[in-house]
Amino acid sequence: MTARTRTSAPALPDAWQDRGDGGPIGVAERPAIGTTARLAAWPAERLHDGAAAVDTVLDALDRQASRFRPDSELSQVQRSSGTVFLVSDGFAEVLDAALRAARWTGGLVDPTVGAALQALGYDRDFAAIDQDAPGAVPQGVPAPGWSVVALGGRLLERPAGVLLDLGATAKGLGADRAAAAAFRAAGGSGGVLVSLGGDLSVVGAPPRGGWPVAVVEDPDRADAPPSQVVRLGEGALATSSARCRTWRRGGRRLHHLVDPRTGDPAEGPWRTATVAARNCLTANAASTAVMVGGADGARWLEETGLPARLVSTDGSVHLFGGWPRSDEAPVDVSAGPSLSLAAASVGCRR
Amino acid sequence: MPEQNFPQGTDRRPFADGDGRGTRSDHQARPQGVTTVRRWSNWSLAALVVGVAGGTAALARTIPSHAASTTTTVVPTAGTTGAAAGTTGAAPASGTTGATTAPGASSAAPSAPKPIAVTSPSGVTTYVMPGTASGTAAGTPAGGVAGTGGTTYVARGDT
Repeated sequence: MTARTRTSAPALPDAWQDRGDGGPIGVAERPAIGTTARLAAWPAERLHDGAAAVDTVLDALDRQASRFRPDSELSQVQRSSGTVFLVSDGFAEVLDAALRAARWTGGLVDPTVGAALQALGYDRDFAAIDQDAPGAVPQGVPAPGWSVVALGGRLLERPAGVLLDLGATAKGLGADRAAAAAFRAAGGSGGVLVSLGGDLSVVGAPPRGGWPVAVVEDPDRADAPPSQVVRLGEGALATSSARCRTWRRGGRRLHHLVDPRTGDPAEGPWRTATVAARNCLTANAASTAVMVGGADGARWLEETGLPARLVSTDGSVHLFGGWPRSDEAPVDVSAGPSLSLAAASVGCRR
Repeated sequence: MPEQNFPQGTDRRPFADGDGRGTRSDHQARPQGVTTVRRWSNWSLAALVVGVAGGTAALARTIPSHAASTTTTVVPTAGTTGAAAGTTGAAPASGTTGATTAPGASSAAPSAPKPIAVTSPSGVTTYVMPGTASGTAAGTPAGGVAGTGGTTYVARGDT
């Protein structure tokens, strides 16, 4: 519930914590989908309506694409030895986004890495994973490849035994969905920012100069100064890193960004990639592709023209696509490509 | 053929006398026609002059305004930001970002002097059960995005 009371605004929905400063921009947070959802909206009086809309979107996403909820649509598909499924419109959109991202990135982002993640030990919610287990070092399981999965409208065809993981795209898509829904619920005026664990999307009019967003490498070190603050007027930002969500097996450090070609955690020259795009689905897919692809990923990113900030394993910073060099400067997302969010899952996307 | 008199100081005779190519009425009609054309030409010329002058004046007012908007918009692209990485001297200070133009900016928009959000790694999407960390109430109908109907296995055996 709310940590403070506004005289003119209704209380926030359950689980939301007010993080605002009483100014014209309302800010609130809640735990969601295994991370933290953050909503900022102006005028602040619209925060309640926006929060309720975000709840609805995230609940639906959880029921569609969670790998760790037994009752999710994805889990139903994973458990089944069948191969053809009629899925919901919403889940079809999530699958469609994953397959389009795979095609766009040349397979660097691949939804068929589910078995590879399980083999590495990431087989449950991250908070429940044994952080340092003895035993043999897990062997990589190469992904069968995204092209074995077919989607036509709501009809999903997936070979038996192929396990899907939609983590590289679902969170970005969720941020886009949630921001759009919150903006609509707030009456379609003002502006809204939704962040899901650091992948964020903005809709409507930004504050003057753009939404100020801190670029942070390690969210667990809240006291650490941001690497940079940029201003986002439209679009989205997403960050992927090999520094977070790590665990050890047999003495080997592992992380969640799996190279589908080998099934092993990606070993590239980059430790963190932040990408800006016109929507968070695109930014999320691109930041993952860069991390997985390493040097190849950087070349691919350069060709896209998307603004990006990459940090190499030695700490050096590399800027791409017009990413601003100075603090408080705006990020221009208008030039790069974008994975469409329109027309949920219509047609075969192979 | 008798001598014809044409108004002085207006038009020349189109044809010499005695050329046998026309009658008296013809000679009278042609100068009148030419005169009419010339009078229209004068009006056209006048209109043209007025039009060109007006257009020039309009352009003179328009072009500078375009140039001004181009130079005052601050949307840095690669190689144009000037300041070195890590330096903030060329950037507006926190709380003074009014000179920065963000796409979609509204004149009614508030200012945001300090970061409102962070972009950071949070790891792969990890979902949690309802009623635990996410706080999602169990039993809430799915949907809300596209009217979900759930997954249905539609073909071949399922063990």
